[in-house]
Amino acid sequence: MPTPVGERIRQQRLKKGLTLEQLAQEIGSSKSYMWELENKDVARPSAEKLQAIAQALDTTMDYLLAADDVTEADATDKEFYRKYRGMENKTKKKLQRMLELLDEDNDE
Amino acid sequence: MTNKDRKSPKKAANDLSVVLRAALGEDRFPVDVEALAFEVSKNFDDPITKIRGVEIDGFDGVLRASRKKPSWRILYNTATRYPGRERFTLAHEFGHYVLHRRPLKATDYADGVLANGFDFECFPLQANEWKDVEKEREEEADTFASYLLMPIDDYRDQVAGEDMTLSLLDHVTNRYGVSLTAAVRKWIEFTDKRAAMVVARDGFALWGRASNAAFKTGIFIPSGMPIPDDSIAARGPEAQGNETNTAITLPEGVWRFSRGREPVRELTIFSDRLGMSVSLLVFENTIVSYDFEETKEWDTYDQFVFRGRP
Repeated sequence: MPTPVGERIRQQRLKKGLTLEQLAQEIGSSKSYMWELENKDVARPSAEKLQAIAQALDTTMDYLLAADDVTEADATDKEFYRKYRGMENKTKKKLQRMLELLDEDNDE
Repeated sequence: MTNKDRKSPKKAANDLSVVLRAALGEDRFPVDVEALAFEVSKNFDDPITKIRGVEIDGFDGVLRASRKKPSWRILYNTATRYPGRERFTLAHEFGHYVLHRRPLKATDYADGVLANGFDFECFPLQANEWKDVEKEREEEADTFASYLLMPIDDYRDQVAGEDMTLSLLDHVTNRYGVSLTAAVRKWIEFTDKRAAMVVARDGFALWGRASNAAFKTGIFIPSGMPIPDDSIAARGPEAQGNETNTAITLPEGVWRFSRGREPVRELTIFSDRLGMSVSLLVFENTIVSYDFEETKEWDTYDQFVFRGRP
């Protein structure tokens, strides 16, 4: 499972048309380290590393981290908290609206 | 539902398959999960009353208790970005209903709305245990979905001992209405051959699975494993030339696992859209290993019947 940060880095990298190798080179890391950052949820980059990545991708650390900025209280249902946490804010709002609509609906 | 009195995911799915086969025969595929979920859940006091497809990126699905009366809803992603996944997602959420829900009763709605803190996850858990239990539930729901949509006996009949080819994969993905990845993964699960699948992105394995026979001969695919340079997966679609339907035989040493080198046949399917590749590896040499006896699922019902025998 990629982390939201990893997912954002990857999307931003593809948008810039960079390969994994090119980005790794630019920030002075190995290709496999960069891959782990994008694809595994164990990797936790240091602030400096993240800053370097943000710079190389013409974006900000805030943007890369934004998707992580959610607390459990934001999710109304615990059962899908984990999935929910990984979503973009836009997605969360849409989903929340859908759930509210469903609750307002009367069954049959 | 407590853990003790519920069926295993395989058993629960197989029981439904038996019903579907009796009722619909050959027409049961691809499984109409929505109709099945309504039909099955009608027999309970807390049926599934709504199933809605939504197109929200980054969302799979959810099984949610109604806030007003004892009933459940399923929301699942029907976005076309992942063709074939939607049926699996719906079956997965239905699996949560069958396997994991705590039945809702009218008394739970005494105040007119569902009491707080009722949802799905109802056992007091430590933070670290939480993750494991949650993971187990997700895996169980996946297993349920896989067995419901692709019963092994039927899948075996479709393959009929043939080599896996792209056209055969096309046939099964159409028959069962599932994604290529789900179909390959299922085949790996039941094949007697020494085979493995590797899902890769940007030159490394995201994840992989080896068949039982392959696993017992030391084949294992760790996440993050580099994809070998000379493999079809690394060389790209051009490496297949005109031969895109059948696996290509590679010399020994291209794919290397813990027990030495051996030739392997590789069939790789590339998805530009997802930026991923799925490789099916079949190892040529038959290595004699102890026969693996498939253990039959044994659940509390069987136990009960067994004990009750004179």
